Amino acid sequence: MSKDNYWLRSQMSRRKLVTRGGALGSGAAALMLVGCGGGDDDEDDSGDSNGGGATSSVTPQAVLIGGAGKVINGEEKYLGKTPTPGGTLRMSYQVDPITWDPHQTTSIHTHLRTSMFNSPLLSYGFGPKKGVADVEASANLATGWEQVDPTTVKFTLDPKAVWTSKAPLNGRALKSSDIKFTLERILKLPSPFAGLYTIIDKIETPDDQTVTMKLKQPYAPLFNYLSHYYSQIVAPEVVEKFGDLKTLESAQSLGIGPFELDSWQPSTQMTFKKRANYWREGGPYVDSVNIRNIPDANAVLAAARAGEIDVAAVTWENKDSVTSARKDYIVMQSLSCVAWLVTMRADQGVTKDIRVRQALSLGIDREGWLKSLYNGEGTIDNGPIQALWDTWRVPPGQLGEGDKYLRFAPEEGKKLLEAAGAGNINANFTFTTGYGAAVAEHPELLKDMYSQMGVNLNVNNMEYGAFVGAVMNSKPTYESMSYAGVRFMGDPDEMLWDMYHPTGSKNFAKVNDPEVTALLEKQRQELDTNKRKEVVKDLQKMLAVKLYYLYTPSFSQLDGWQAWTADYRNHVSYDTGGYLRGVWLDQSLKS
Amino acid sequence: MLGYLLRRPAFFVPTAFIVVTAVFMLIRLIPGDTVDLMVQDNGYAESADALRERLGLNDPIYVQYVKWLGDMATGDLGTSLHTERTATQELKARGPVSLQLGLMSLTISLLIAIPVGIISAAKQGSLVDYGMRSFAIGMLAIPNFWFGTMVIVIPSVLWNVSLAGKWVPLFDDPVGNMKLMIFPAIIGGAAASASVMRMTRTMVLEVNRQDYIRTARAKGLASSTVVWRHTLKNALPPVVTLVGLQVPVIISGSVIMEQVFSLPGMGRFLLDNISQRDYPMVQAMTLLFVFVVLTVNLVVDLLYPVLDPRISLGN
Repeated sequence: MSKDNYWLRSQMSRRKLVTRGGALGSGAAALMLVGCGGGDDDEDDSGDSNGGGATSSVTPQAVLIGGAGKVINGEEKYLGKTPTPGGTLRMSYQVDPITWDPHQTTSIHTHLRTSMFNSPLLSYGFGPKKGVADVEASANLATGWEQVDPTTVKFTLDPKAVWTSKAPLNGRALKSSDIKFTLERILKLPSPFAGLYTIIDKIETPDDQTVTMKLKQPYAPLFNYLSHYYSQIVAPEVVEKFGDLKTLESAQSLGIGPFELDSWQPSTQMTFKKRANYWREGGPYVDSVNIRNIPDANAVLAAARAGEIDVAAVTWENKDSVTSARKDYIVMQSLSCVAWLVTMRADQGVTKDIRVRQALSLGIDREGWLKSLYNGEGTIDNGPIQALWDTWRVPPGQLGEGDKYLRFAPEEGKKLLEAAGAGNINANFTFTTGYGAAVAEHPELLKDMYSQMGVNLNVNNMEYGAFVGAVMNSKPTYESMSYAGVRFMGDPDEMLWDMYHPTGSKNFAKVNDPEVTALLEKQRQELDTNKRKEVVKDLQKMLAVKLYYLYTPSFSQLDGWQAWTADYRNHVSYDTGGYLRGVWLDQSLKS
Repeated sequence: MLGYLLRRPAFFVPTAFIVVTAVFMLIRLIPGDTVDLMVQDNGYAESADALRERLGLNDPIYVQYVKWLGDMATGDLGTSLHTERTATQELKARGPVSLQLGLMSLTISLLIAIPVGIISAAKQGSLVDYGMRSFAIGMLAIPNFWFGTMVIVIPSVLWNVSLAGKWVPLFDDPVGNMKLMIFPAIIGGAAASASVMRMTRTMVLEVNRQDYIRTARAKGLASSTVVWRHTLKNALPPVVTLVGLQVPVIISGSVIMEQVFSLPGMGRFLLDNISQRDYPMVQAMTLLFVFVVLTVNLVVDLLYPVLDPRISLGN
C-alpha cells in the first residue's frame, strides 16, 4: 500500500487540527459530543500491517478499559472513606434544556437535568464500584419485580418512596397510579419514546404499592427500558396543575429523585438542592448542585484549571493543560459509547447488493484507522453492539465468516464491486460538523481509503439541524451514504431493533430482512438472559456478513473531576441524579 | 426637522417588513425543521407528524406567514416552539445583557477611536502614527473570537484564573457584573474602533488641509482650540455615519462574545434558536435587531445638523 495517502496526512493533522481548533475557540456545541482516542505521535505508520485478518484486533487496552473505565491520572484517595455531607457540587453544561418535559423530547440536555429530580421505576447501579456502562436493572422506586408469567410482570413499590414536600404533592407517598399515569402519558403523548412501551397491553394497580403490567407478548428489554431516563416517573397532580411539564414552575414542583430544582437562570446557571425528605439511603450528600452554563469548551477548561468547577470532561488534546495545573485532577479513560457508522440504503441503489456492502467493508483499513487517529488504542469494530458492552458483544475474531469483512483488502473489494457491476462508485457522503472536532477527520480518512478501491465519496458537510432532517430522521429523500453517530444506553434491543427492524426508528438503511427480523423478535421474547445473549450473538454474526451498516473503529474517551469530588462516576444512562446521589466533597483533599 | 422626525420612522415599517419576511422564508428553506430536532434520532413517525400538526408546521407556508403577521399586528411576537416561553419574556430577560454589552463596546470603541485618530493625524508620519495605525490594522485583522478565547485561555494557563465567570445582573452586583462584562466589551470595542479610528484620522487630515484651519492657526489660536472648534466639527459627520454602521458589527460580534464569555444575551440566544429552528424566536430576535439598527441610523441622521448646521433635515 502506498504511503502517499491518508497515513501521513492524518497522522500529522488530527492532533494538531483538534488542538488548533480548541485554541481558536471551537466552542460550537455538538449534540453528541464524544472524546477521542490517540494521544502521542504514532509510532508505527506501516500501512502494510492491515491485511492480515482480524484475530489480533481487540487490543489488551480495549479489554482492560471496556465498560469499567480506568483512571489514568490522579488517584481516588477518597475510596473507602465514609462520606461527609455538605457543600455544593459545581458542574457545567453547554446547552440549556429546551423543555423540562422528559417525555416530549429526546434531547439529552433535558434528561440530564430532569433526572436530578425525577427518577425511573427501576435503575442501574452507579458509583466507583460500577462501570460507566453498567446497565443491569435494579431496584429504585420499585423494590423488585416478579415475572408472573411470560406476559405479566408485577412490580412492588418502595413504601418509603415519597414525593417532594412542595405543593401540590406535599410529600405524599408514591402510588402505583403514578406509574400507570406516567406510562400512559408516554403512550398518549406524541412522545418519541412511545414505541418502547407499545408492547404494554394493560397496566393494573390492584393496590397503591403494586403495579401489574400485562404485555402483548414476552418482552425481555422491558426492565432495562423502565430503568432508563425516558421513563422518568411524574405525578398527575403536577401535569394537571400546569397542563404539561414544559415550564420551570412545573419542574420545580416535581421531585421523586434525590434533588429539587431550586432556580434556573437561562443561559447562566441552575441550582438543585438536596431534597429534605429524600427517602433512599446513601445520599444525596452534597447540599446543592450548581451547574453553570458555559458554552465554550475553552472556558470550561479554564474553570477546571482554576478549580471553579468540580467536574469537567477533558479530551486527549487538552488533558495535559488541566493536569499540569492540577496534578491530582482525576482523569478516567473508557471506551466511547457512540458507534460511528457508514449508512447506506439496503433497499435500493448499488448498495442493495450484499457484495457491494462487503466490498465497502473491505475498503476500510480499521487497524490503520486506529493507528493513525487513536494511537492504536480501541477496537477495530464497534457494532452493532458497541465494544463498551463486552458482555453482549461478539468481538472481532469470533464473528466467523464476518471476520473476513473486517480485513483491509481493497483489491478483493474491487473484484467484488466489479462482480456486482458496481465498479467506480461515485457516492454522495453526508456528514455533519455538529458532531464536533473529535470525528471531523473520519469522512476524509474514509474517502482516502475508498479511493484506493475506485470508490469516490463526495463528502458533504451539513449543519447539524439539516443533517438530522436529511439523515437521522430517515426522510424519503435520503438515498446516498452518510456518516452518523448512534448510541444505545439501555438495552441491546435499543440499537438492534431500531436500526435493523423494518419498524425501527433508526433504520436508516431501510433494512427489511426476514432472517434478521426473526432473530430480532426472538431476542425480544427470550426471557432467559443467557439464552437471549446467544440469540443476540447469532444476530451479530449474521449482521457481520450482511453488513447493512459499516461500523468504524471504537476509540476511548476521557472524563475528569477534581481530586475532592469523591465517589464521582459518570454513567451512560443520563441519570444524573442517580449517579450524583452518592457524590460527596472530601474537604481533606481540597488543599 | 419635525416633518423629518415624523416621516423617517414611517420608513421603518417597509424596511422591517422586508427583512423579517426574508428571514421568515429563509429559515424555512434550511433543510430540517424544529420537529426533526425535537425528536432527533428517535423520530417515531407518528409522533413527529402529530407534533408537527400540533405546532402548525403542516400548514402551507403562506398560512403560517399570514398568521404570524396577524400576531405581529397585535403585538404578539411569538412563542418558542420548544420552551413555550414568549419572545417578549426572552427579550426582557436577555435584552439588557446585550444592550449593556453593546453600549459598553460602543463607548470603548469611541474612547479609543476618536482620540487615537486625532493624535495619529496630528502626529502624521511619526512613530506614534505608525504604531496607532498598526494597532488599528491589527484590530481589524484579528478575529474577536480568537481574541476572546485567548483572554480566557492565557490567564487560566499562566495563573489558574478563569475570566469567564458567572454572570450576574448589573443592578444586583455591579462589581461582579463589570468584572465579567469588561473583557468582552473591550474586545468588541477595540475591534469596532479600528475602522472608526482610521476614518477619524483621514477626516482630520483632510480638514486640517482646509483654508479655514490655516486661517485659524494664522490667527494664533491654540492648537487644541483649532482641533475642538474647527477640525472636529467638520471631520465628525462621516465618522458619525461610520459609527452608525458599526452597530450591526457590534451586534454580530456580540453573538461570538456572548458565546465565548458565557453571557446570557440575545446574540447567543439567536444562535441557539437558529440551530434549533425555533422560527418564532429567530423572527422576533431579527425584528429587534432590525429595529435597533434602524433606530441608530435615525439617531445618526438627527446628529448631522447638530454637528453641522449647514445640513437641514427639513430639506
